[in-house]
Amino acid sequence: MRWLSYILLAYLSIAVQIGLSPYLAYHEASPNLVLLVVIFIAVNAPRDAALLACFLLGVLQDMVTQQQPGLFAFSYGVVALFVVATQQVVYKEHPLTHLSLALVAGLITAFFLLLHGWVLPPGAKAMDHGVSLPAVRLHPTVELTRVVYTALVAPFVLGALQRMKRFFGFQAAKRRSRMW
Amino acid sequence: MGLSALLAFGVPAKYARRFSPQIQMVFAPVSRPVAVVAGWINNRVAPPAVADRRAVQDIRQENQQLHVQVNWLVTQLEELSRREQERSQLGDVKGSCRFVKVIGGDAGSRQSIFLAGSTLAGIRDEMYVLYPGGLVGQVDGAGAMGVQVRLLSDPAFKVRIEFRRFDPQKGQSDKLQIPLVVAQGDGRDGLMVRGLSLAEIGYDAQGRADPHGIRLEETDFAVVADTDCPSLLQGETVGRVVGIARRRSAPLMAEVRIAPATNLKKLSEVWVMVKEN
Repeated sequence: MRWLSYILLAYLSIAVQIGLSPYLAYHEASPNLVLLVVIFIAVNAPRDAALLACFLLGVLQDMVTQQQPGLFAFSYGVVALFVVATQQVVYKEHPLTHLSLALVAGLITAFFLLLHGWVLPPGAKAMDHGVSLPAVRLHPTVELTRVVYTALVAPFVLGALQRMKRFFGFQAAKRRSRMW
Repeated sequence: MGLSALLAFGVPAKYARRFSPQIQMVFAPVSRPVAVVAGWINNRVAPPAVADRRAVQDIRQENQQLHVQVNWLVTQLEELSRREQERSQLGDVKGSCRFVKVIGGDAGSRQSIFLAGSTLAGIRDEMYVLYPGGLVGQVDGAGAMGVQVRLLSDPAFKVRIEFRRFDPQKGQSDKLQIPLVVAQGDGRDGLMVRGLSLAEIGYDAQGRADPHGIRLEETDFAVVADTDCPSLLQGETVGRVVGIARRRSAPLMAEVRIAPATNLKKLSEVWVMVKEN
């Protein structure tokens, strides 16, 4: 895999996610474009490179969110493990593959986000004048909307990325990765 | 991956976030133009919806009162400007706020925005961020290469507020006789108040309004009244009441929803309060 192309794609995906997410929001949920890049890498790159690349994308995304650091890194690592395992059995160019992979990957990510929000709620339980205020957690409906939204966008984004596959120099696992 | 899982689930957020570098400015060359273009298209295609449900007559009346108030304020402003100009000649007066551009919104599922500012520009953690419509949030992560602001709609944001109502006759807002209470971000572009009983806001146990007493109504304002906040911030608008309901888990308690005047994630510029007094 060409790491320079990967770095450019990672940079662009995070930057576009930051810039676009407020404007693409539907019922407070915006699509996770970085997750689509994770799927693109994981479905095409050799196993080790894919796992590392997806994990690093998660690390990057952790730096530009209020979420706990490590949450996206871990989630994308698990997503990569799943998608890499399906490399040999899926038709990589088909829109239905993109849609289904995005749906499953989105559900995996949402599961970890919600699990984290349930274990360590962002708005912890508090007391106000003797009144107990329950913890405020992430809304499952918002996360599920995000999953569906991301899955619907996936055929377009992944379709476009698949057309640019040659710039990334994905190759068989036996050949070594190179920087350029 | 094991380390990331440990960091995500095992380490408390306040410690874990200390080691998270602020690198938002790195993405500004792309995300800022993308946000500007997206904002332009958004305004053309889907202009912001009007959530104000008041009668046209009431709005006109309030408008008229505001005209009078604005004229008075303009006169006051001119006088203050003249004084400020005189004082600035002394050379030791600076504004308490710094103007900063917004890079974009949270890349995850929380409520935050990133600013094209840095600690080099004097921005520090826990400083408050404002816009012309009121409070935006609080800096939660300031670095040399970016600043992250926790919006007041984020679940981790809490502020003590009081309720006020605009009186068109007087041309000013009056404090309602409702106890100060904590408002907390709801994670869905607004805040909620859950510490008041229905009786305290003028409703009976069935949720019916008390016809004699003063009761909280939709369109009342919520403003900052928190002794932990800087004195300059007291009275700053948090938002308007947009919903009053009973708490599902405690039927005698109220759940009041408050919405800021605009979608805070779509702001393109804000003011950071760099001096507190």
